[in-house]
Amino acid sequence: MPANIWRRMPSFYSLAGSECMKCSSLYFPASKVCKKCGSQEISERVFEGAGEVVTYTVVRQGFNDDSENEKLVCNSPYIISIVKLMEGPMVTAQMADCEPEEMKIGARVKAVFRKISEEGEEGLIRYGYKFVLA
Amino acid sequence: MKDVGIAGYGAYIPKFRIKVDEIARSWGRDADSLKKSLCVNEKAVPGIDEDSATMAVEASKHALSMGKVQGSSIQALFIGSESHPYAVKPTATIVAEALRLSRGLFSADLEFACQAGTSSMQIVYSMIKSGMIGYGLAIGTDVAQANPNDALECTASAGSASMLLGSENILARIEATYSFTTDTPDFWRRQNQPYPKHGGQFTGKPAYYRHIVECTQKIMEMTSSRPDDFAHVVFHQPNGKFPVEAARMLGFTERQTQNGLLVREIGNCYSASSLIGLCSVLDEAESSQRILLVSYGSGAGADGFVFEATGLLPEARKSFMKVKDMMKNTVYLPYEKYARQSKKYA
Ligand SMILES: [Zn+2]
Repeated sequence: MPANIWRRMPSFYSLAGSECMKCSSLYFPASKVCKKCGSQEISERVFEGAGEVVTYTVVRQGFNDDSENEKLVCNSPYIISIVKLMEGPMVTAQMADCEPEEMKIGARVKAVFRKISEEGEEGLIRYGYKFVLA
Repeated sequence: MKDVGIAGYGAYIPKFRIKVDEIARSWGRDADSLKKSLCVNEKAVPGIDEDSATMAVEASKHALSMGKVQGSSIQALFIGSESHPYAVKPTATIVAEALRLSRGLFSADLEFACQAGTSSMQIVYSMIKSGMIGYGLAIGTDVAQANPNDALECTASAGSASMLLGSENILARIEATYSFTTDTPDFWRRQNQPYPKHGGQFTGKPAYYRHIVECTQKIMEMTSSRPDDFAHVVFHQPNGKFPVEAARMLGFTERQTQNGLLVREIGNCYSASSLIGLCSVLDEAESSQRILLVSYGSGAGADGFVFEATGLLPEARKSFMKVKDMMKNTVYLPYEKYARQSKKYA
């Protein structure tokens, strides 16, 4: 588990994706090969975090834990939305500080740094991005 | 020697609030007498997924962006808190990674009750002054803990403030800093205990007032200042009464303290309390106005700072939201939801 968290830190912590140096295509999460032109000349690209809601769903039942002891840190029900970043790529993420009745397709959002999950009281805390209404 | 000062600043206050009326109602206590004795009406409550690290990241994004400084230029990060998420695993590592700071980084977590944020600022200031580093971040951040039905529950809140210090493009120059420290047992929490204990009445005279007054008098002497030399004065704000009374004792007027006094609306955010007050003062200060900041940490100590706002301040803050505007978009919680959100009864 620690290795798994550690490896994904750049993308989870700061929305670090990638940019193709040949055709400028942007990817999140990062892609080692450009899916458009096949180039492997790729550099890291950190996205601003501003975007808008393309669609969303309200999860009212049971948390879908990644593993047996990893518990999501969020209210119930919680909202998952697909956000189109200002730069183009789409990101699926949880909403924070937001009730289902406040959600709207097209709503402007911005990324914030929050607790995502915890491995119980003794284990690691996983941090990462969620979105709040802007 | 070169000037060192604040090159950018940022505050973060969570969106949620609970009213003292609501806390009093749920425990069957008299709200009016609580509000009167504490001079606090409501307090900020963190979201379920917020902690001292996440709030520090948000405050620091603001500070870096105002200073137009890339994370990769930051060479020191010190974080003061009494609610670091881990007992062992530095908050500074998490915040540095989230902000993509330089890997060549001097950093540590500090704890000195509510004073550790300003202590962080003294360390970063010294490193820049001595030429060790160019830019550094000093943060005060806390999710304050209080035993349910303790009077402390009406004030213990959450927030974060981040100060970007440097020696170029300074918005407020640091003229002097001083600290006053004694062993005064007014407030403590033993290892592995969830909530702190406090000495009731003892937290006033020998603790808060003595340290604030001694520290203020000394730093005014060091800088040959009189009370009316300061346009703005900020003291640590454990409640709405202490800082107002301390200001009165030292000869300051309400006009000097009003911009930085936020405790009535947000509560006591511990290590972030006086620094968020400072951010709010920096939102208003005019060029060449002088600012006095004195924090207080139980146990006990006080850190004093004297700043002078520069001509760059009004322009630099222009496109950023003021602290007092950040405080407007709030959601009030009923006690049950507040208790669940702050994991009082998990
Ligand atoms: Zn390409």
